[in-house]
Amino acid sequence: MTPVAEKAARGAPLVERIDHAGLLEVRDMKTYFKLSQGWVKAVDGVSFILEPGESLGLAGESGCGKTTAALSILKLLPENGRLVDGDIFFDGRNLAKRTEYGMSRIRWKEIAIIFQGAMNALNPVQQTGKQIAEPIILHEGLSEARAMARARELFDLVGINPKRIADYPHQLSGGMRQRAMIAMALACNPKLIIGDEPTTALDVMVQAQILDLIARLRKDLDLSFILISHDLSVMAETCDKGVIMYAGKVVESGTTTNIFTNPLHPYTKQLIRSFPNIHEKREMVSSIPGDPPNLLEPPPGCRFCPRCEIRSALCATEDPKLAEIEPGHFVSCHEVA
Amino acid sequence: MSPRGPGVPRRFRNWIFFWTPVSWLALEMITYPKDRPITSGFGHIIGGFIAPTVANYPAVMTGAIAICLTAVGAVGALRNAKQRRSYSTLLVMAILFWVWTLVTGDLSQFSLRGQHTTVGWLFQTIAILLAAVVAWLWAAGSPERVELTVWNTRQMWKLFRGNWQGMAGLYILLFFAAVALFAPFLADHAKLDPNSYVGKPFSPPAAGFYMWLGTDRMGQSVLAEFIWSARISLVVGLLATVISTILGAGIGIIAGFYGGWIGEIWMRITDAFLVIPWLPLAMVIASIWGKNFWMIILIIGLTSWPGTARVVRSDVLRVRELQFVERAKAIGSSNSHIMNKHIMPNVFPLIFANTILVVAIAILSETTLSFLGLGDPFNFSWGTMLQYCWDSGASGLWWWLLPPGIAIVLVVVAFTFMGTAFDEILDPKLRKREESGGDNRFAKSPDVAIPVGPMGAVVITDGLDTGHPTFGHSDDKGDPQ
Repeated sequence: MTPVAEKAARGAPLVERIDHAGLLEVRDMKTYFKLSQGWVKAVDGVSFILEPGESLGLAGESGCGKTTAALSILKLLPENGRLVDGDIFFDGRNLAKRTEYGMSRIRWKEIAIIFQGAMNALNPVQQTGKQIAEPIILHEGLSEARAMARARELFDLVGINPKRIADYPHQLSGGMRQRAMIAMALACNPKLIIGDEPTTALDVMVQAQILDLIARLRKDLDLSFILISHDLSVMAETCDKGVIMYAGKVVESGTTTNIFTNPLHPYTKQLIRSFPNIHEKREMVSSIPGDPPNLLEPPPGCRFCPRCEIRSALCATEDPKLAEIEPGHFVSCHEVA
Repeated sequence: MSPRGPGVPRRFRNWIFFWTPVSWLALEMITYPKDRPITSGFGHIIGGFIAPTVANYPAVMTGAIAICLTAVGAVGALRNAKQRRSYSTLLVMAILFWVWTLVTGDLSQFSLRGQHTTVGWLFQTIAILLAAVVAWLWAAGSPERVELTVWNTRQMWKLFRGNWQGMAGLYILLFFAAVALFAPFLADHAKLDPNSYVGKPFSPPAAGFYMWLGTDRMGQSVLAEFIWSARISLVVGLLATVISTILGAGIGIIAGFYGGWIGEIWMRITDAFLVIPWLPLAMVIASIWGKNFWMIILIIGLTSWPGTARVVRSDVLRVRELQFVERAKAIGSSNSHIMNKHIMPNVFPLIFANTILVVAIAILSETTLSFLGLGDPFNFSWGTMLQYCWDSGASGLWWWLLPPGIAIVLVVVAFTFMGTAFDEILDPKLRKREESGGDNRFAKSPDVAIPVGPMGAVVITDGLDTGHPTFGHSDDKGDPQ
């Protein structure tokens, strides 16, 4: 008897579960893109932990690596992208070490993603219901008729009339398309859903509806959720935890209450100041002077140093490490620590 | 045994069902020497009653594929009556059967005599009935889908009707299609027999149906030849286009979708075919494979695909970057599924418009080959007629020379017109403004001057424009809280 068959006969799991914190633990993840000029360090050492049933917000300005970080978890990188280092532990498995085939068993079945523009993520020449049925047929092996029945249920769940299942994407409104995308993400009962700016293209009213829907589904179905957004207010409203990114690195992470009431990193502080506050005295919103660094050759020290208000000599030479300032609140800054 | 049934994975079962007999036949084709009857194996069963010699192999293949598709379609339809794939397979099979029997007249003869025996008519009737049943089942499956299809077709027809090129092409084609389809009713095929003559050789047009276009060098009726030639010319053109489109679209989609070195290899092959002068290539192939009706189709199909492949690839390169393709990958769809269900439907309008243009080229190619004496000697096509005329001196024989010549030009022009029309209809960018259904509000009010920016963009100005952006907050600084 081979060792594998022996194990199977004992009833022991063939693959040992790896011990790690939470449902998803990302440890020092690095994703680089190869260009003719060199490697762009789009994500350079990102770490966070997501507990089951929790929601986490990834925030930062455009180009700071939020979407790349999310796509790296699913290993859905463009051809010139590489996950060069780090571990992604999900439910006892290390996704960073998985093959393409192994990933295809996890994608959508356990981790689903809601893409940025819903119009572009739906095939314009295929009925919406068919597209929702696609992952069900693939992963659950149901017949087309049964998968369509399930798609009808999902439409009902996200608040679209199930009769609209035969409609083509252009026949649906923007909000309905986004709802259809959410229905598609729920199709195989995943444990974790990644929302890549799910409300960006929508107006404020529809945005609120979609966020309500996500919150309700999260509670009813006990889902974990990663929300990627450049809109801090959206994050404050929906997430338990927040991760603020700047130029491919995590600058601050903690509970949303922590981050919004007691921001420690100068970038977070300025980011919050650049949003108008309706509760306090009316004042000019401020912008952060300067530009993010070129990620082809990032500065040797802290990446925020050139734009920072409280920088010191140390900041320009040495990269700060993420340190736990208070329980559950991490900041990477020399001056704060 | 697994609860799912036999050990073969479900998705492969149809393929095994389909490919086993086909590959068997292909193997026999390769291993048997020429002009020796098929004597053993599976080929014996089919070959025994349809194809006695190697010359008829392509016909055997067509028949075999038709039979296999029938089986696959029937099994699929029985197993899951709601799958559209089974219906489309059955439909393709029915069309194939129909074309096959229409061309050959019978299952047992392939020389295009066109004498439809009882068996031939029986098969055609079965094929048409089958197609009707399939269409009915398809319609009964989903009323909404039928409604949508009817609506789409109506919209398409509306646009097509407004396009004079398309309509001219359609009328010309309808005429020649009718001539080809009803050939057995218009002219007796026996008149093409070398022993049957209707008048003196080289007599000009005269009274009497078969003398309308005079006679050729054997005293045979030119009109009868002309009518029966329409059949060969059109069928060769259409079947060669089917091969060319399947090859061209398939290679274009694969090359465009995979990209990288796989795409490079396919595109270099395409380039090679593109730069080889096709006529010498076709002549060489024709002299090696033999001057047979099916071989001519195969030769034209195999030499005319590179243009399609290039055009399709360029569009696939655009489509594969769209986000729904990424979404399909994220879902875990296989590459073939993405190409079939996501890429192909999105580039289909282009393939369709291109196909119609390829038909024109294919018909012209057939004429060229026949004119050079590389056509099927047992069948008349317009090119063959021209060749015989040329061999007989051609001077002054206008009644023999002009009908096939004009017919070829008209058919080719008609297909080109249709192709251009579909190109315009399916690509909204080429559509003219007044044809866009009247919902263009700018076209209706010519008296309002619309300022146009450098890139043709409409510049919106609102009188209050001071040259500065107006979203500063300085204005409401003194506002009471």
